[in-house]
Amino acid sequence: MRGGPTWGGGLLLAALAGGFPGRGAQDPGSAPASVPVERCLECHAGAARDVASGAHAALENRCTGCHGGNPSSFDERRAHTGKFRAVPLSACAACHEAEAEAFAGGPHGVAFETKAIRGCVECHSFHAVPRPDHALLRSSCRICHETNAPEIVESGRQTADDLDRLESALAAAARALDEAERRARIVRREREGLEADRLGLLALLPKQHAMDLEPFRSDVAALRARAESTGARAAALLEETGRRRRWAWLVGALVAANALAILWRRRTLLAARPHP
Amino acid sequence: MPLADWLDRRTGWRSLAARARADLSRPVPRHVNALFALGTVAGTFLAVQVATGVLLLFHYRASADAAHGSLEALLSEVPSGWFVRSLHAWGAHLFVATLLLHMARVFVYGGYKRPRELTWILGSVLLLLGLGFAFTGSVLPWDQRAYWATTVGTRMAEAAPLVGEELLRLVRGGEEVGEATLGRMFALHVAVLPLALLPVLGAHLWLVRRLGVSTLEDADVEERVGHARLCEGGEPFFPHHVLQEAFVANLALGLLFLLAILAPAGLGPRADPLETPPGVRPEWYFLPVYQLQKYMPRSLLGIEGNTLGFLASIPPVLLLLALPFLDRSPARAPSRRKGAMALGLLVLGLGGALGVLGYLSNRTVQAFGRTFVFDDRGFPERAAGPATEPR
Repeated sequence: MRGGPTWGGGLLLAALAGGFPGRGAQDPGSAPASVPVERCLECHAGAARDVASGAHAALENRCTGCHGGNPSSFDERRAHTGKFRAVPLSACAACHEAEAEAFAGGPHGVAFETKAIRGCVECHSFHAVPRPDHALLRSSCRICHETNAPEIVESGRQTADDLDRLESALAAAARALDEAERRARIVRREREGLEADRLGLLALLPKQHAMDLEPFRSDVAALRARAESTGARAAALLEETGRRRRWAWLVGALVAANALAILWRRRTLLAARPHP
Repeated sequence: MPLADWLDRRTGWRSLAARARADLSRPVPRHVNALFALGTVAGTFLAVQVATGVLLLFHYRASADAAHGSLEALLSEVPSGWFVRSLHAWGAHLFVATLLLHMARVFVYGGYKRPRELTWILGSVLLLLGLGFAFTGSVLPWDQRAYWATTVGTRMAEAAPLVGEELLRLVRGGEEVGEATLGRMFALHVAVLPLALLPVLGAHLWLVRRLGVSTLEDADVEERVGHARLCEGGEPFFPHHVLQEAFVANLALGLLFLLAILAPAGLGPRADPLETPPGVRPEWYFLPVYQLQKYMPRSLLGIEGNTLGFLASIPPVLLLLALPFLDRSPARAPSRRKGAMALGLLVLGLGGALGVLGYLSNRTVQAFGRTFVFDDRGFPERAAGPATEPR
């Protein structure tokens, strides 16, 4: 993966980036904000490709955001000086503070301290960090626990199922509320409730990193019950709105019957009237 | 019936009823058809507005803090509250539309000619009062659309020459649309305008009964021969013609009920003076006047464009009120009133075109497989290529 620096490409990149930094122009160890292109991919093209395919693709400082170092340097030693770090937990914690805190307080935190695992990357992979997905709970646990603790694997699978069901309930409730609102129903309170549940889920998700999954699952179940109740209220509103359409048919029939009665009465009167 | 006798001895209602029966049995002209029921339809819608308006008053709270919430509660908690409000909202649209159609019918049949000039003028005043009801009522939900449409609508007062700013403050009750504006509009809607409407409507109906429906004969012929003579052979007003009107009113009520049930009036987000929603425009009946303002030059002969727009919306109103005195020929048949018919068509065409331009202005419309972006004046800015799926 690591090859010699391609100076021609680097110079071209620097020129395209709008400048040619002179040797020693930058303070080694600092990553100046004005450098728009990280030169890490000169040697780490594979890693850069992986990052671009993952959840961190949209980050401006894809490499230095986690690894530090000096991205403007063409020199390998200088590029890896300063605050350079390989795969530190603190890099993840900079953005994912709540997750890192829960992780540190759980059994995986202890394992990390004793260097039995390498931190977040153990489950979330290195550069091609997948987007947040509950499926990870189904796949990652068995990497270490399939033989030594199958109950953990099962618990992870059940937690993933619970989270999927919760998200389905939230999405179904949102769809039902949209439809009810489209039919001129007032759903402000239900929307506020659903928004609170969404925020509740966002606040809850980091806690799964403590790996104490039973209380986590009961919190997820409580949220799901609330979302399902909102969805049921929206469904009831929609059903009641549907009943209105049946009333419309009845009104239409009454109007038609009344119109016919009036016409018949008028016709009778006109027939009984002597011709002028 | 002892009770009827008892009442008759005190009120003399039997002789009153006999006189009314004799009057109501007078025949109507032979050409009278279902189109002549539009006035009754407008009256029916007005009755619905009064009944539903009173019901809404039981729940509505006229303050900026509580108005939106009270309607939310009405729509979500009060049994059939949604239906009453929808009837009132749709009734307003249909009332204005029926008034316009009724006036168009009277115009085409030459019904405004002597001796019915005053009936026309009172009818025109009723139309203006109806528009007043619609404008003041549209503020009351106090949602975003109500707030910003009122902001745009009341700003027109500012364009009045000499007293513009004072007029704006008078209408709004301050510099901005707010609590005072809502209070004013509510008072106008439920007290001032109904009090103004009652005598005008009463006089209009009294004149209609007194002078009868106009015949197809020229005005001078009708005066010479007499209305009663020209109506000979026509069907009696009651019950024959009343049944015809009841038939049309029944269909109109059915339409109102179906609209209220199938497309109930919604309620937007609560009014927020700090957030202007996109695409603010007044209701359809004000769109022509609203759009007319946009075509005014920045200034002309030292008069500002806004003031020009305000002044330009006065002649149509004066034309409406003074029509019987401007078109003094006795002819009623449209074929012998080419000038008046051309003017009518011109007003209709201009109003319709301005309304359509107002509707299209600042909109993106997908049609014929292309996307059209319309500017503030309602003209297409550019064809933005093939229509894309809405996201």
